[in-house]
Amino acid sequence: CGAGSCQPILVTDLLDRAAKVSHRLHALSTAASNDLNNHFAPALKLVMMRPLSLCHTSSLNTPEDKEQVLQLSQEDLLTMVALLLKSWGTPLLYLVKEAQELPHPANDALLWKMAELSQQTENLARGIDKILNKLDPTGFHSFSTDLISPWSGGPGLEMGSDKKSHLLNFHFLLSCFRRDSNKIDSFVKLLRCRATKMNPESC
Amino acid sequence: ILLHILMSSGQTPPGRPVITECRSPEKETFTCWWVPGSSGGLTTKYSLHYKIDGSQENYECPDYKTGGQNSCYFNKSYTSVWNTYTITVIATNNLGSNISEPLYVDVAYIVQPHQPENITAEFTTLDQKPYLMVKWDPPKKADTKSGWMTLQYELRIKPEKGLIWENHFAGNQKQFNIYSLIPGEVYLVEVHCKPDHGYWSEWSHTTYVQIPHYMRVRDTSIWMM
Repeated sequence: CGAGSCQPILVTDLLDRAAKVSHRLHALSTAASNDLNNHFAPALKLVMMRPLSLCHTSSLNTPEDKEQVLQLSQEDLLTMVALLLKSWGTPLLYLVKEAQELPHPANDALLWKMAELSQQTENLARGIDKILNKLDPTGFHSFSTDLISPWSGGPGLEMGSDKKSHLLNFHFLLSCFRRDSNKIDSFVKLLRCRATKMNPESC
Repeated sequence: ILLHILMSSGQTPPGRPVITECRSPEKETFTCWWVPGSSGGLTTKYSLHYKIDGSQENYECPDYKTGGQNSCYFNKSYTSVWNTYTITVIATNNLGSNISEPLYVDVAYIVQPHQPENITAEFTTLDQKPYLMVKWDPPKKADTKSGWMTLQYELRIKPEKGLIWENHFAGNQKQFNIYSLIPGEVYLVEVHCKPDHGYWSEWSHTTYVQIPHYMRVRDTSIWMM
């Protein structure tokens, strides 16, 4: 911008954009889960019930009810969202790669959804960083990259490397992401609402 | 032998109960309902059991009363979001017991709010254009103020004698204007709501509104010519 020729973007606008992306992330991951589930035999569905407490992001200890969420400051919530998003960078790239070779009739649909999920997640992570910088220019809430949940990669040790294991692992990772994208979307929308406190009509 | 005698008298172990659904009106509490199988001709007791993902502990339903018959209510302290609950119902009588298929529930995905409240429909004109201004409040239980729930609304309207509803999606707004209504008609207006990721509520109570025999803008202009 030239000298004073444009207004700085408001945090409320940034959060509004962020909420659109987080909404899309959750809708898209739900659609991908449906694509995947529509072709599973009921017997296989039982095998697939791998508890989501084993998701790599479980170590982040995100809040689990309204009271816990409302206790968090704006910065803490944003940090939580940033950590969740960054913990999904590598596993989403892996899912894009896996979708290309997935032995599944809907793999074309899954591939473009995974590619968009990966891209939009990165997008949102950048946006959240920007908001954090605006709210907290001193970087008081900046977090060490050690906090990002590491992902061990590929099918877990207890799983084989055959086609079925790949499919099960894909399903498990996607279920984890879908659940996390619901958290992310909820937190971002809560932040959007808090930021527009002057205008309670907006939430 | 005893079992045989009892069975031949038409009495059997209970049939398999079926958990029909679990729903949360505000993402803070939830209720599950089941339908019993056959009682086997004997007094049969039902109990609901649940496990939360990540823990091996098995718990019994904390409240069989609040949700009515064949239900279990989980209040705030028993409800966590983004965790998978594995829920089963066991039917027991003197001859044996039977267990339902498990239902896997994450409260984040079973939210169905109550209906919107205080629906008003007011007929006004702006710049000579007559229209109906419909307003409503979110359901009282849903905490939309803190942003814990984000609701979308849809309204529907039809003339009293009409058969077909006309639907309008209002997004997050709690107000909607409707144009081009037939003068002199009585209209019925209803509103429902849905969280961003969840189920539509029931339709609200009906609000009736009488459209006056207003003079349409076009008529006025013809008159002025």
